[in-house]
Amino acid sequence: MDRAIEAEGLTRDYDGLRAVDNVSFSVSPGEVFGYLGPNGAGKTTTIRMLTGQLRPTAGSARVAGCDVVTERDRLKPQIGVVFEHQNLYERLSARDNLSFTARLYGVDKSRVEAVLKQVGLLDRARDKVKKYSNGMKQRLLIARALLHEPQVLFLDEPTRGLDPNVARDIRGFVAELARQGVTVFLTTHYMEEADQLSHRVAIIDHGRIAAMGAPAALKKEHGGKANATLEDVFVNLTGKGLRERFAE
Amino acid sequence: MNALQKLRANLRLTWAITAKDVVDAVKNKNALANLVSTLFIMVLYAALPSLRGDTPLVIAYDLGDSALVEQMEESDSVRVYVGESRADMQAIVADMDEAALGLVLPPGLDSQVAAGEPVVLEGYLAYWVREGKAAETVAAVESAISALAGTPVRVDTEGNVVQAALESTGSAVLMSLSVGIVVTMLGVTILPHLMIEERETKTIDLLLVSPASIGEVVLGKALTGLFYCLIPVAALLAYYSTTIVHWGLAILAVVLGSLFTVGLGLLLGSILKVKQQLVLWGFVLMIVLMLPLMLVVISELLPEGLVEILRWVPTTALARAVTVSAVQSATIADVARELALLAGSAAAILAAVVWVVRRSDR
Repeated sequence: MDRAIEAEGLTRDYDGLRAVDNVSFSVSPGEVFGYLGPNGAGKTTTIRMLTGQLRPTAGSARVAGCDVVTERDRLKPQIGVVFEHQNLYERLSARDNLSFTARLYGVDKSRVEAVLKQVGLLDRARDKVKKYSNGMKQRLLIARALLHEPQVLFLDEPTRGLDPNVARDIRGFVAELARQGVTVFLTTHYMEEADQLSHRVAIIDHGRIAAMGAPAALKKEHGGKANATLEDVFVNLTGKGLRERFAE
Repeated sequence: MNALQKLRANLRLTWAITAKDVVDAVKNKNALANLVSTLFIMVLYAALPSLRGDTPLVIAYDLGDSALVEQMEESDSVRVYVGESRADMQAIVADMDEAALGLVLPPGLDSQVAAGEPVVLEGYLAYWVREGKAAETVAAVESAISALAGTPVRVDTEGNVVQAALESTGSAVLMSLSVGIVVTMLGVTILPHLMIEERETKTIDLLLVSPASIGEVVLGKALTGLFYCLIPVAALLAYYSTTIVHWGLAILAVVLGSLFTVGLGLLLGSILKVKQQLVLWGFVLMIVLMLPLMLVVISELLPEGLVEILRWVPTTALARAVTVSAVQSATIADVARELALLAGSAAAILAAVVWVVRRSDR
């Protein structure tokens, strides 16, 4: 498999509005690919199409060698998803949540204990998830996504709303996964995080890719100043509309 | 993957979803409260006959225009209805929802009583009356009539069991109404939450990216729904265990009927956006499904065309099939239409749920 993710002209309309517009990119196996954009730019819609939850209006995509429309059954065991929302069964314990996922994926129960240990939740595994802090829930979501050892991991804003210590832990997990060869598709609002973790990033605005490349190259090309940060690049590429509105 | 492996995988995924939902239900105070409330209403309902008091009920077939009938009518120690023929008396006994004693009052009874001779009357009891209750009823009637007649009266019920007929009402109808009401209530009030909660908490996304297909998700939830429905229904059937003659038919009917209301609940939960909408639509559906149940009980008072239409409502089909399970002479052919209707509507509704959930990716 040359490409872990390959999107070609991916487009999605909602009630006549184009949420994702002719997006094309590819991600190599083991690469961390940052997918950045303002709210409503089309990040989550792209993830939903790449994970087989949403049919593209046009274009095509292959993830882990599987077509996301016609080979969904083959695709599903190859991917792990940490969703934008903390979608856990709150009345169940962490162990019950993971045991359920293990049954869905046909994974041995010993993996449940292993991932609980990996994310540091073994001591609290019997507690109901509703008693967990946001950080613990986020770690559990990552554990759930890793349970079946997917080839490609989709992380939709995995550190949003977390305190800096937990966010750092989670960045550590992602970096470790990348070292282990897992392909990571990461969306985030934190530019520093994207810069630190991603081999390449794509910046999406109004459903279209505005720029794509290694963070260093983007800073050089779109930063507009010496020592530009990825945030500068992001603002330059996506903040035009906002700046014009304020100028008026 | 060969067919057997695929089937095993289907079962594993379906069972995983059912097991999770059942565990979740056990930990869900609201769901438990609803289930306990339903069971409580059933217990209350079961206790209702005892509120009528313990005055025994007699259905008399009077062959000799006996004065004893008038004495019984004026007495507080016994309630009496008069049948016009032996068959009529037996039909009334079968139609009662309490243990009524059918009595044949022979010609010349008054002279026998006047002579102070001991009297033996032929008595009939419905087949579903438990042994203890039968003995208690016979003893109460013997005591009341003996006091009225002023001479010892014995009632012989040996071998005189009245079976329900296809057109009988009584205990079987009460049982079928109860089953219909319970599965409808649970179906449209509790089960939509199985889908609404998955959507509100966005856990449905987890299911949709997992190896489970939408069909397996819906089937898993339908099995959870059956679990919810069959607990109180099993309690109901146990309560009416002496009424049921054809257990296989009764179980088949309640499973198919429950699958229909479960499917309806899942469909409602898949269509509605928020829990608040459920109050209105749940109420509307309850009326649509329960009113026909009540109306068919008084079908003699309704136009034939309307009754025929009502019989095509799945809940009335369920009630009819459950009622017929109490009729010894009935065969599966007597309720083939009802069973086919229930199976067909359950399958159609569950297919609709799959279609609605699948549309979410369009």
